[in-house]
Amino acid sequence: MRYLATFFLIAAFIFALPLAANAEFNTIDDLAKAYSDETCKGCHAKIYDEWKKSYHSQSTIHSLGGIRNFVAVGIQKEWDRPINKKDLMKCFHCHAPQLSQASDELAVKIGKLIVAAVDEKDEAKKAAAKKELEKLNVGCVICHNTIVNRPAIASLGVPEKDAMYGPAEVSAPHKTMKSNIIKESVFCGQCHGIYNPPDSDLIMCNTLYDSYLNTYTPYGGQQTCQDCHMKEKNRGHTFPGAYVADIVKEGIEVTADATGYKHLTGTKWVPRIIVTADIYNKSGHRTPDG
Amino acid sequence: MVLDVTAKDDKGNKIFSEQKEYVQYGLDVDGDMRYGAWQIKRFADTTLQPLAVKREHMAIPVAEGTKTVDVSITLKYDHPGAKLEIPIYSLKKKVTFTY
Repeated sequence: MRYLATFFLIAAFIFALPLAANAEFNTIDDLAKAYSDETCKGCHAKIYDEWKKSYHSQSTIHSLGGIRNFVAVGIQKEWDRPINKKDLMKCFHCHAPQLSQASDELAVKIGKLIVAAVDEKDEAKKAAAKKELEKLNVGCVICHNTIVNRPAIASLGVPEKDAMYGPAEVSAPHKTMKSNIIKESVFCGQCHGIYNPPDSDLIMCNTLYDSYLNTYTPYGGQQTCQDCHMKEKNRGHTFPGAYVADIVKEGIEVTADATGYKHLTGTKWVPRIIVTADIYNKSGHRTPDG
Repeated sequence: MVLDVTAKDDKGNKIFSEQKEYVQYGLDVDGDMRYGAWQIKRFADTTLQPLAVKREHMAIPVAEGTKTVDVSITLKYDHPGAKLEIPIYSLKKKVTFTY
């Protein structure tokens, strides 16, 4: 029985991974299934649980307001265009890269769901739209395959469709590949910095990586994103950031004091207090950032 | 992120209040503040830069005859959209004057 279970598990990997590669999907469920993390959960339960708590697992719905504004105000109102996949990818290049494999019709449907999940007056329809969009996130397959080589695609090439890329050489029931770039800040920076889409209309969603590159490292900073947001305190795949008190406090050190003295104005002494506050940003990027 | 300095005299009256805000305001091509990531093309940036110390000085004028002043210094990280506030630092100090 145990062997049979193992067989099905291996078979599940073999059949699950290739789906994510070259297909075009017409429904959210098919797209979500191709990128499902449920198969990974079987062997990587701890990592899965960590990821589930992270904002990567909510990468679409956590940013719903901003993406809705891009669709309803940016695409439709300011640019006067119908909802279209090319423009939607300006958000989903990072918020759910699997959308690149959606058919044009599915992409438009997702764009409409984004607007409905915020603007819909009927609460039941609004909740239903949100529930659908919860299926679009940045999961295991996205980071460990789909986008792993993206910042150096010309030299590293397109990831092998049935392999999972990680920082170490390991053996697993599925094909694994050792990746150096996944340990580098540029891997995170591909999404946590200014995005330059194919049509060159810059999307300044956040500028963390730009600050890391242009200020932190020139001032001698040597840690990577992964050092602070994953390795430190065994944070793993929870990737804590600006919404988590622990890491926010860790990045800022304050020394302050207030001292009273008598101030001389002409011939008169008046009481006065001098306040000094030194705020040291120990983190690897400007704080705060989007 | 906001640094807040408040002072109250020995009667409990607020005699000083000042906030310093560390924030990145997105601006469009006309230099107007915008929230949309597609609209933003540059920034008005008062954020805390990495590996740098931001030193703030404030002088609090105190009325003659005041014997004590309670000074409060706080730094908080706020996310207005998410209605989340993370307190980072807090100091309460009583400053005494003798005449």
